Amino acid sequence: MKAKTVQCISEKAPKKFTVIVKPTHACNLRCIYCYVPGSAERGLMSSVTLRNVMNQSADVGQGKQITFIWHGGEPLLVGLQFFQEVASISHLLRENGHDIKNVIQTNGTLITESLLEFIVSERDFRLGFSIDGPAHINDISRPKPRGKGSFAEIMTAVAKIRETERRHGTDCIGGGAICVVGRYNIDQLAEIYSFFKSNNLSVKFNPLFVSGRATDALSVLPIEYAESLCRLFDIWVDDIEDSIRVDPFESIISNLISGVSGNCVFSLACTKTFVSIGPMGDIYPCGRFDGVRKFRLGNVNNNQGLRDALSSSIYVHLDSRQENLDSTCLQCQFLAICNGGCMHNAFIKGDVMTKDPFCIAYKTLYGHILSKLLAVVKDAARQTLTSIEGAQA
Amino acid sequence: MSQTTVLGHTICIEDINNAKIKRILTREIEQMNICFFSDRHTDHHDRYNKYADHTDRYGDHSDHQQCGAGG
Repeated sequence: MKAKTVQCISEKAPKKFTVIVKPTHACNLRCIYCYVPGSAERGLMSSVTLRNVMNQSADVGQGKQITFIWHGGEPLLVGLQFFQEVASISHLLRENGHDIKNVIQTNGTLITESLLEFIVSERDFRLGFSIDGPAHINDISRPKPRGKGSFAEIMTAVAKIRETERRHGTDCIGGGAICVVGRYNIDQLAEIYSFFKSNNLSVKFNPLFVSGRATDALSVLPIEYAESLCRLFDIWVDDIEDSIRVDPFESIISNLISGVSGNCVFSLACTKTFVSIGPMGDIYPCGRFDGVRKFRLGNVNNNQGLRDALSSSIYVHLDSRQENLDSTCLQCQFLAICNGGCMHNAFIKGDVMTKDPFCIAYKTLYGHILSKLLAVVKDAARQTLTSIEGAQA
Repeated sequence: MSQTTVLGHTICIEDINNAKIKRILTREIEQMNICFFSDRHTDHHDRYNKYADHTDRYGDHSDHQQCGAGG
């Protein structure tokens, strides 16, 4: 056997710049934990603002792979014509040498066959959904305005996607789902995992964060979240079926193996790679801060809006968080893959400059997954050694 | 079969007996992320200054928690 020295060649990978765009904060659902604050901008994004968003992002992200995440509110409320304009601007930017990707994060209830045909034809668009599990769970947390659940409409959309992909012989539409973990479903994660698996939908389990309509009563304690996810990890990791991607497990394993983080929450410098822009063009450091006026960085409709925003005093202050991390973070064994966690989580509990209050959850989950990973790797090492000795004998 | 070092242990990927961990490890190797940075455990501020806007995974935080489609 030949020993292989793996070199890091990731300097060849593209730099990335992700712009979370909210063409509207309006929504056709009334999710019990909607985080959009009452102070968020109203209205729909205009063509002028859209062009400023995309052109200024291309300018700021020059030389990087730029991903626009069309978010909300419900982004599909702005209609297919809006996304046709997005595609048109994307084409122009590509002709000028920019690397552009588009993702629509939707509640899934407004997906039409026209939209799916458009996505197939454009190729660089993907869809992500929000579903909190099977009907009896999802419809508690993600109802429509009069209380009717959204589950049936979402699953109709999933079926349309599968049918469109089958018809075109592609899997280019997507998409994975986000499942928000709160008081209403924390005891049913195993059932929820089975649901996503049986529907062949990759899923990302996110803890509910307190903002907008999401109150403390709906949230779970960080340690509760961690212990529930540890139990789910044990089910998932030894499940011989391997048809869907489940996060945060896969990303944590990747992070533990590589020693660095690829997820925004554990970013070394999320301010350098993410920005969020609202319907009227207001700029925030992340979609989670959208509407929190003291974090407003500027507006794309003002001169060099985005470029100016990224040199604003608020931005510089947020960008200094890594230089002022809590001393306990600096001594933590998981620092390189956590980096003090999410500054918005820290803000909710008081101050962006403090460590993420989910610290105990991250440590518990990282420690649990690392134990399993080490056990598997040590078993493999013993097997490898036995094979080597056998070959030499 | 080629060997690689993971978490300080020399292994052949083929000897990993857990399908999911094997798949993720294989992906990381294909993406060349098993890259024992010589300064991986050095000073946090130094790491920030070197990598915060760098092209490797330190600057590649493309996977946003609020996007189900991935990065």
